[in-house]
Amino acid sequence: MREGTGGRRKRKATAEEFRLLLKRLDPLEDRAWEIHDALRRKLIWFFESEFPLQAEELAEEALDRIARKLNSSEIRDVAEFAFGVARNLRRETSRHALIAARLAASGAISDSVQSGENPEQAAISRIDFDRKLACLKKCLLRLDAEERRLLSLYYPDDGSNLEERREALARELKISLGTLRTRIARLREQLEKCFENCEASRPPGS
Amino acid sequence: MENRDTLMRYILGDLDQGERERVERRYFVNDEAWAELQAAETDLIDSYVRGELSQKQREQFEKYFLASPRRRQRFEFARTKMAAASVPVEEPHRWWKMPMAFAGPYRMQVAVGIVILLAGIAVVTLIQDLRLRGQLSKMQAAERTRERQKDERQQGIANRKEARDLRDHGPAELLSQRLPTISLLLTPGQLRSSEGGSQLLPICTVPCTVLLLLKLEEDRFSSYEVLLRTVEGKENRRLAGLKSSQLPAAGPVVAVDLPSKLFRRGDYIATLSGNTSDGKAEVIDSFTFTVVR
Repeated sequence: MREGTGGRRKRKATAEEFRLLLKRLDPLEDRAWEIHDALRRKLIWFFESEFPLQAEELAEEALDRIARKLNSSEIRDVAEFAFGVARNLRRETSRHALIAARLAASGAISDSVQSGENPEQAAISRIDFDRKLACLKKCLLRLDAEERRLLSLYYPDDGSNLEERREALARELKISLGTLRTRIARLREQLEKCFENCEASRPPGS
Repeated sequence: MENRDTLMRYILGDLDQGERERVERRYFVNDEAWAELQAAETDLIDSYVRGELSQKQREQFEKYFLASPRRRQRFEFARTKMAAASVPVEEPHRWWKMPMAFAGPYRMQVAVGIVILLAGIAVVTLIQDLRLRGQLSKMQAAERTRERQKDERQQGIANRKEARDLRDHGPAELLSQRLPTISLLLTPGQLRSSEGGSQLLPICTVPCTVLLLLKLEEDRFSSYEVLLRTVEGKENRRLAGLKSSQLPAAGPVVAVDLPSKLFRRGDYIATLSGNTSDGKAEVIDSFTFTVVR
């Protein structure tokens, strides 16, 4: 069954309404797209707690509603308004999902992380893990040596006294702990994106 | 600053409605709060992988947090990272640590002392030079990283712009826009050949739009992804969130519009994947074509 927002998706925002939204976010187009991108990610976060498989679709609908409303209403703070739209959409979707969930409850399939594996499943898991490991190594090698060193010091194999070790690392690099965290967060984001792309691009069975 | 424990509980779905909405409003309107939340998610995933969560938190993580495909992907990355052996760090060659054998008779001590002194001065000068080179190379590396991250961010934004355009206009409308458009209908698996049967894309000499129409045998996914590469494997563009369209003569297609400046003469492969309902990408087909000038 294809999931959706209860089949009540309203009219999508027109191109003109969308252009107006971008303009409200920022006068410079490139900067406006960056803010739009961040807003979209916040909306996905907002919805995925309750609707993990519909989060992207709901985020797109929320953006459409925001763009449509901006054209017709006097809105001072787009971020505050976006939150309000998202909250209302979540409530609407919850009401519809409640009935669907009751009907689907008996057929629900849980995706347990710790499933009891038979030997065939274990072999498949092993192949899958090897593939992931190959992707991770390939992505790590795209970083330079200094970046890899920084990551290995920030995420040591032995996870004891992590906070103190990270503070010591920041002192060694002569930067604040906050700056170190920001640098690591950027490197990690880069690695995760590379990892995701690598996994997605591998043909099945390789 | 939001309490880290509150953020963890929010991520695990453990807050009441009032507190939850308070946290959510905050990260919508405050960029710092947004950054804190993302960092808290990273820490939570790492804590789970290291086995540091309480029993209750572990259950919430497995039942609730991992329900999202995006979060599962992040978890897979963290789990792989934890299980992988460390990539050996390339240590720079520290030549000054090599043992220097000084042997000589007692009467040569003064001469040896002078030699050592001169060597010491040379070493200090060399160290300073190496340090400066190291700093320069770090700055260059940091600059390359910044450029790479900026390119990746802009590529992500460009992909979403293109997906938006296709959603708003559709391939038929794009074909009628003022910017010249070259379209190519691709069928899967057709071999590249210079004698007939090859899928050739003549590139225009002025800026134009290239519209690739990837023919679908069966339209069974709600959205699609396309990865465009050269045959050497160099990735040109990845587009996600694409929808299928119906062309009167060709049937269902996935349309991909790209700027002509992306293409050089040579062979390309477009790999089409469909997104399943649980967020995984399933490779459907590959389409090859040759760009000719």
